[in-house]
Order: sequence, then C-alpha cells, then structure tokens
Amino acid sequence: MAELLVGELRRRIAEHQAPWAVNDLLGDDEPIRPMPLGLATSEQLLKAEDVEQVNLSEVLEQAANPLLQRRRIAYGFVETETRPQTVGLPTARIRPSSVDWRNRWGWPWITKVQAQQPCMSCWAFPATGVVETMARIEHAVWVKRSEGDVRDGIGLSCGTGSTPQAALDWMCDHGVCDPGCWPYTVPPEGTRPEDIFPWRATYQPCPDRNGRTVRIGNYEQLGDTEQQKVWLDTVGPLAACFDVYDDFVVYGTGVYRKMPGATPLGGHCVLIVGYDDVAGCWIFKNSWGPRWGDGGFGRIAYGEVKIDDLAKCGLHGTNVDPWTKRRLHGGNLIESSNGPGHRNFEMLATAGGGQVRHWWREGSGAMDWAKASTFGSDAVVCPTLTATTYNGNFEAVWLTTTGRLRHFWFDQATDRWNDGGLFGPIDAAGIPAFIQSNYYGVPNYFEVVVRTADGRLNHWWRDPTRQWHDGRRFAVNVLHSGPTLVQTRERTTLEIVCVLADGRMQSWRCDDIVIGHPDRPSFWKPGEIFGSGVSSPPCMIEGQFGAVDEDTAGNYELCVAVGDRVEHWWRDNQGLSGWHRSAVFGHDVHSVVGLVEGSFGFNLEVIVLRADNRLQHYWRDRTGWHEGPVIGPA
Amino acid sequence: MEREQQRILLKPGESHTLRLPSRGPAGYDWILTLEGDESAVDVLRSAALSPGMSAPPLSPGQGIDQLFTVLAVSSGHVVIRFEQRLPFEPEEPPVDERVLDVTVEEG
Repeated sequence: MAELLVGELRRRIAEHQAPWAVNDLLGDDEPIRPMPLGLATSEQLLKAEDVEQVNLSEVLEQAANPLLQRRRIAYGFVETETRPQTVGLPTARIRPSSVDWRNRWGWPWITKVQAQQPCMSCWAFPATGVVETMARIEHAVWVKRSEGDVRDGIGLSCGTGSTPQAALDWMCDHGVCDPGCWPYTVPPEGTRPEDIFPWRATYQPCPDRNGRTVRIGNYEQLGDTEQQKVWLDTVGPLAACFDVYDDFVVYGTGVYRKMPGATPLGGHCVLIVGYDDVAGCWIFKNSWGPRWGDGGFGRIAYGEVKIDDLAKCGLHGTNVDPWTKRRLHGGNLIESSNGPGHRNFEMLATAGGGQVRHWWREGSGAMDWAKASTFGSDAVVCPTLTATTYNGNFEAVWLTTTGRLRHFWFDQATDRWNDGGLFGPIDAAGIPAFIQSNYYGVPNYFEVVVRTADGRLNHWWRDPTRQWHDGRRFAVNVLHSGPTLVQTRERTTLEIVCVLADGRMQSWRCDDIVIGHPDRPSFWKPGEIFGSGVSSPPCMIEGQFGAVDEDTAGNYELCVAVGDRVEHWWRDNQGLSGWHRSAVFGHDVHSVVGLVEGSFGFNLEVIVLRADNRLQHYWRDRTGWHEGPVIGPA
Repeated sequence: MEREQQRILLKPGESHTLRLPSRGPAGYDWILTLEGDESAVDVLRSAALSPGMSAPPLSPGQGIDQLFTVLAVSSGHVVIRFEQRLPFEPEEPPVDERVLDVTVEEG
C-alpha cells in the first residue's frame, strides 16, 4: 500500500524543520497520500503582477475609528486633523512588523469561524468576511452576513466554484443580508453524494431584505504584497486564493509550507486577517469550521502555494443596515446610513406648538448640526426614534397632548414624514420606549412601553398587519418610563428600566414567549433595583462593550439625569454582576433624551435636554466624557 | 449511505483505476481503509489532469478529481473502503463512500 501516513508526515515536518504541525486531532496512522501537480490558472482571477498599485491617498478617507485614523495619518494617506478623538494616540511612521485583526487595540474584529461544509462555496466566505470585518472596523458593531445570500443570489449550485471578486461584484449591486433574512444552507442530510454538487437553493430572501442589507462601495484589488500589508494596517482584511494540497487539510498550528510530494486537491480562498513579518506569514481565517487548524485560523508562509500570485481583494465604505444597529441607539437620536461616511446622526426634538423638528449631523467634516423638516402638532416630549427594516425608514413615537401615543414615519423613498396615527392607552403619561423586534423570529413587530397615569407601565405591540395591540400593564409606583427598551442579542427577551416613585430605578424583563397566542400576552418580571435620587426618564442601549463576538450580548449602557448632572450606569450582561455607576458628568441638565454608540470607535454619544430647554451633545471616548456643543432649542 | 460494492478480479500485474470527485476546497479528503490481504495490492493515487494543463493556481472552489489505481501484487482478497470526510472531524459521517472488493488470482 503506497500511501503516506500522518505519522510519516509528522516525521518529515520534523526532518525538514518545517515550522508547522499537523492537527492534534489526527492519529499517526491516518493516511495522507502523495500526488503530482494541478490545473490551469483561473482566468477569472487577476494575477498579482498584472495589478497596478492603488493610490491609497486617493482611495482612503478620514476614518471614524480614531485608532485607524492615526494609522492613515502616519502614512500620510489622510491629512493630520485635530479631532479630539485622535489627539494623543501613537503615530508610528513605519509599518508594524505584524497586524492581527483578531485582537487589535484590545478589541476583537473578526466574526466567528464558519463551515462551508460539503459545498465548494469557499469563495463566498472571504468575500462575506471582508464585508463583516470592514463594517465592524468602520462602524464599531458586530455584523454577521450570509454567505448563502451571495451564492444563492448569484444562482450558483453547491458544487460550483467562483471567486471572491465575483461575490463582491454581486454585493456591489445588491449588498448582502443577514442570515435571518436568507441563510447559508447545504444539501439536506441524506442527499445522495452525486446530488450534492448539483443541489441549488431556490433564492427567496425575506421581503424586507432591503432594510437588513449591508451595502458596499467599490472594492480594490491589490497585487503588491507590501501594499497588501499596508492595507491590512490601515484599512482591514483581504480575500485571497491559493492552491490546496492534502497536507494543508490536516494543518494544525505554525506556519504552513507545502511539504515535498504533497498532493493538490483544488483551489481555495480565505480571509487574510493579518501578517507577521517575523514569522514570514499571512494570518488567515478559513471556512472549514473551528476544529480545523488553530481554532479555524491558520498561518501560511509568504508566497507559499501561490498565495501571492493572485490579486487580493479589500474594500471600505461599508453602509450598515438599521437592523444591525438596532440595539445601539435609544431615545431621540440614531446613527443613520446617510452621509458619505454612512454615519450621520438623526435627531428628533420638540419645536414648539406640538411640532417635531428633525435635526441631523454629518458624520464627517465639520460635524455641525443642521435643521431639517418639522412635522406633527401634538408632541409634548422629544420623540423616541428608530430606523427599521422597512426600507430603512425612520419611525418615531411620542406622547401626545391628549395622553395618547402617536406614530410618525419617514419614507426613505419620498423623503417625507408621514403620520402613522394614534394608538396606545388613553392615559399615557411618560416617555415611550419604542423598538422594532423579532419576537417571533422575523422583525415584523413594533414594541412600545410607556408609563400610564396610574403609575404603571403599559406594553403595546404592533403586528405585521400594522394593527396595534394592548399587551398588559405591569409594575407599580412608576414615576418615569423612558427609551430603555432593548431586545437582547442572545435571547428574544425584552428588557426595560423605569424610575420608581422613590427615585430608584428598576429593570424589568419579558421572556415568556407565547407563540401562536392570538393576544400574544406579555409576562414581565421585576429585576434589580439600583440608583437613587432619580427624577427624570433614563435612556438605555445594549452596546458593544462586553460583546466578544457577534452572538454575545454586550453591556447595557444607561444614562439618566440626577440633579442637574448625568449619571452613566452599565450592566455586564456576561458576568451578570449587576448595575454599576461609572461616571457623573455634565451640568444644567434637565433630562437625557438620546443615547447612541456609533461608528466613532465605540464612543458613547448622549443628547441632553438642558434646564434652559436647549439640546446639548456629550460624548465619551477612551479618555472619558466630553462636553459637546449646545445644538439648539427643543 | 454505503454504496454497492464494486467487485473486480485481477491477475498479478494488472490494475484497475477508480476516479473519484474531489471536495478538497471544502476541506474534504478521501480516506482509505483496507480489510483482508493488504499485501495483495498496492493503491496509487494521482490527480486527474487533462492534457496540456499547466501548474496551479487553481480556480477557487474547483476540485481535482482523484484517481486511485489498484495494482494487483499477489493472490489474495482485499476490501478497499473509500470515505470522503473532513479529516479533522473524524466522528462526522462521510459525505461519500465507495467500496471496492478486489480478488487477485494467479492466471
């Protein structure tokens, strides 16, 4: 029997002093067989030598992430600027000897390792991975995208190869949605082997795909390895393709180099997440599940198995959908997809006479606040604003002069605000919390919780036919409701925080899902009581701190006015150590009306209503809280 | 999922070639086990290269069919099982499986 065993491969690796090891899961008696050479070069892929240098000074713009911005300044790709967020950060003028986006600047940036399973869809994974990572780098939010959306949107079968470039071409036209809208699937269990490759999913994404799709601009192809490393340093990961040999399949750790006599099995693509000049290798995320290699990641020597023969692909300018950002805003402020950086702030505030004014701030440049349209006639408080999967429309709910709730929505197609009508209790008496939820698996529901005049909280919800329903009342002795409603990342649970008559805050949660019940009753359970001396509505989000990956709930961040200052509270949703007060800041504050964790490197942005009835912006970066401009009257 | 056994009769010096599809770009490989007189045959493996094909790089997601040549060495009976699986997930069932029942007899 002429075949190579894993044990023999291990011996050869040792004999050649090759800097890598076979996967520990494999026994020495497992077979590895030698084989000769491979196939022709794909005409679909650009050779590295045929790609011209990209002028990064022309391509790259000011980065919202202050740490990345400093890297671009270091190379002279963008002008030195004096935004407070970037002052004082290190600016090494040479390319670092290693970059690894799995952990950079103390943050994780790479989504979990996926498994393509028996389909030959490797090309879709790094393309999707580039979008996921760039969205996180550019907008400071975990973003999971569907490889199936790309493969099935293009219309390819399970067994059809393609290229990351083809995937990115398709995504430039169509964007890429989340797996809940259209998942990556493989042939069902029991499919005959000869039917696996021809199997093709019938592409039927969710009806609101447009509102849950990350858009991308153009992408760049880079051929020069030095420029690829600079790109990894100043922009983000790259998609790359190379030849797969049979010893690569059993790779475990170290820097992979093809062993003499190894057998070519085909062409493959991965996501390059970094490089290491000392070890002389690229660091990559594979799509063969977490049990392959080093937790699903690997290192491959520069130039090995033709990895540097073909152009690598990167992109920037991602535009993240509102469904992805849904937990990152509360109150009257959201970060929208508008503007050249796709990170404008949109804000609604009262404007006198019951009217509501739409304010906005450009996400780059001077970042001055500007007034947009006014609408409505019966608002008595700053509205609670969100953006939804319904074409990315803005939706707002406010307390009316008649003690009810009114819904307004901004149609992105016509650029106009529209009255969605009155709903809710007849004795509403607080700031409404308002979110879009997927309580039943799809985001076709609105959830509202508002204080009523009897000192209770009232949960209302809107079904997919746009009918509002009275959930039920819960809690007692409630002094204030506020925009604190969150549907957590890990569960369908709804959570909310209110202010009690004694000045303390209390959290409540609703995790009893009654699927199929016509009235969809909600059962709210009391949680922790914390704080003191509070006499205004709180504002809360679920942020990215504490979220180690795209499936993990981040910390709750809550801001509330106490006296004439703002208290910042947070709760660790992993350690479940309860609520902690981290800071007190501001002055002349009447109440907190908006809270966002936006694209600016995980900063928190707060809008307060001052005692003089004007709106003011505060923000927190890695150094602490800062006072922003007074925006205007409310 | 096990396929019907293919039975072949060879004389020493004769050979039989089996062509199997590759899922190498998905991390799968063909794992062979022999039961019986292992010394009765040698199994050689090669890539199914078309004439004129040059060196890699290969098209992403494109696998190379694998050729397994069973060379009869001496009299005996051996069953060769081919399982296509992820080598690093040995407890997972194979996605494809073939069985070759080989008898080598002197002429």
